[in-house]
Amino acid sequence: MTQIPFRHIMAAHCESGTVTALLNHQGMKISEPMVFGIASGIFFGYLKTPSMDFPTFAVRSIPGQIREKFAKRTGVKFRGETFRNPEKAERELNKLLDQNQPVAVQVDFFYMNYFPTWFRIHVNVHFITIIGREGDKYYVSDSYHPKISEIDREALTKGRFAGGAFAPKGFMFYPVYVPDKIDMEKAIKDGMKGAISNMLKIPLPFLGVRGIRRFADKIIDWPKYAKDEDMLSDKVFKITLFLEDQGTGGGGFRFLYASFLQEASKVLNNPRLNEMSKEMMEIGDGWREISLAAAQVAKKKDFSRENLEGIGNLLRIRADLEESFFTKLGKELSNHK
Amino acid sequence: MKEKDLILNYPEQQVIYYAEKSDGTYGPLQTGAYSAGNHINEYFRLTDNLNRSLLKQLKNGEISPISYYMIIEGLTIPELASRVGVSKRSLKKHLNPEGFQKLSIEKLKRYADVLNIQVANMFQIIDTIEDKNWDAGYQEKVRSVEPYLISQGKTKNPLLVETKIITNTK
Repeated sequence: MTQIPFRHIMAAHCESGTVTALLNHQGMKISEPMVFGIASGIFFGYLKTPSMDFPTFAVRSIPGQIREKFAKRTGVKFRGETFRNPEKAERELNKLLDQNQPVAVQVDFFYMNYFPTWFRIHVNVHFITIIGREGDKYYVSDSYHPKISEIDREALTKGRFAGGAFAPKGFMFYPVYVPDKIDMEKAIKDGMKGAISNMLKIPLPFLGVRGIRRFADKIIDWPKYAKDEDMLSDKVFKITLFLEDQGTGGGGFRFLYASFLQEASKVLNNPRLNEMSKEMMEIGDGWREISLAAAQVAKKKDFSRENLEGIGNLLRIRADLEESFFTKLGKELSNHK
Repeated sequence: MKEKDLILNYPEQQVIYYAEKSDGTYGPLQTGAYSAGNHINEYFRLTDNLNRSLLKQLKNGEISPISYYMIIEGLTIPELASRVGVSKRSLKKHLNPEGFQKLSIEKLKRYADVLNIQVANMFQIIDTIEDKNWDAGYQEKVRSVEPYLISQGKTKNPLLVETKIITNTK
């Protein structure tokens, strides 16, 4: 066999993009922002455990949750499977491809050799869709690549069976059931409730809005974790990278969430949500301001307390605005019948 | 953010941003990536510095090739240990040249597989560091080092790599 006819589209994020493309292939009309919003993908977490050499942060929910929460809230069913044995994983994948079923697989991004080497990092939570095979090569629809790509069997297997944190264990999934009628209003509202919970209600000081504040307080400590200036520059620059270019849609997923709110306002026939989508877009603009500030500090290598506090202050403003935004969204949901 | 403020000409890395269109609606925009488009030279400078410093340590026998590749690939000790299936304590030993010399070939191959390099590249450096496209030990891809092409191909022997240096006639 060769390629299954599949509409390849680039997406902001690999998981929401993969789920969207697979559902579109299945005949369900849905956008990436809607998948992301219904699944409550928006999030914030500031992480530093004793085993970590350097702090990090996340601007989205735990990998895998987009698919799981979207399925739970819409009634769409995916079949997902992990494997211990790479040969079995390959056989199952081939079997589905031979039945013309495109299949999403979880991989370590590092082994996706259709990207330039400088761009590839070890991260085990990348999702791609395999849309065909021919001999020892597979055809890949990767949301981060402009075109359909090819990968050899060995690299794909390495990617599917990389070890370490969030090891993919050959995980693959594909949709098996899309309901004829989906209560989109309920799904959207549930998605919003989940986002409010992510940002405001998790009682841990490093998650949600509290996590943004913790980041703001702790960024002045970053120099003590770095062994030299270059390392610190790299880490500060990664703030920009994580907020803008590692599959966020820009502004740390806030632009994507604004698009969801705009679409949701139409489905729920609630013009106030459209107004709130503009607020979220502005919140995203503020995150981009942080990206710019971090890139400047990293480039100039001026890690003075004043400069790092400057980034911290910008983060505090985001925390205040997001706290107020999600509180307001909660009230809007309570008022909306 | 408005679409016009996000557009960036950087074909080497394209991304999707969600942006405000001219009619006020929000939607996807395919454009150049902000970080790479504006700061790629800085990134290359940082990685070059790191590479040079690590290569010096490697040549001086201060670190093992495993340490070199682990750092270059951005892996941590717990992460690499888990991927290779060795304890963190053992891994720490393998980061030093003395501990590295005691490694079995079988374990060495496991490291090479995870690090995505040929086993042979644990014992040699193909020093073309002046070329931005070069990556220490990364396998198989033909690397252009004007006026030569370097190709490292696998053989059926899992420990043997065939390195070809060809004059670039293009």
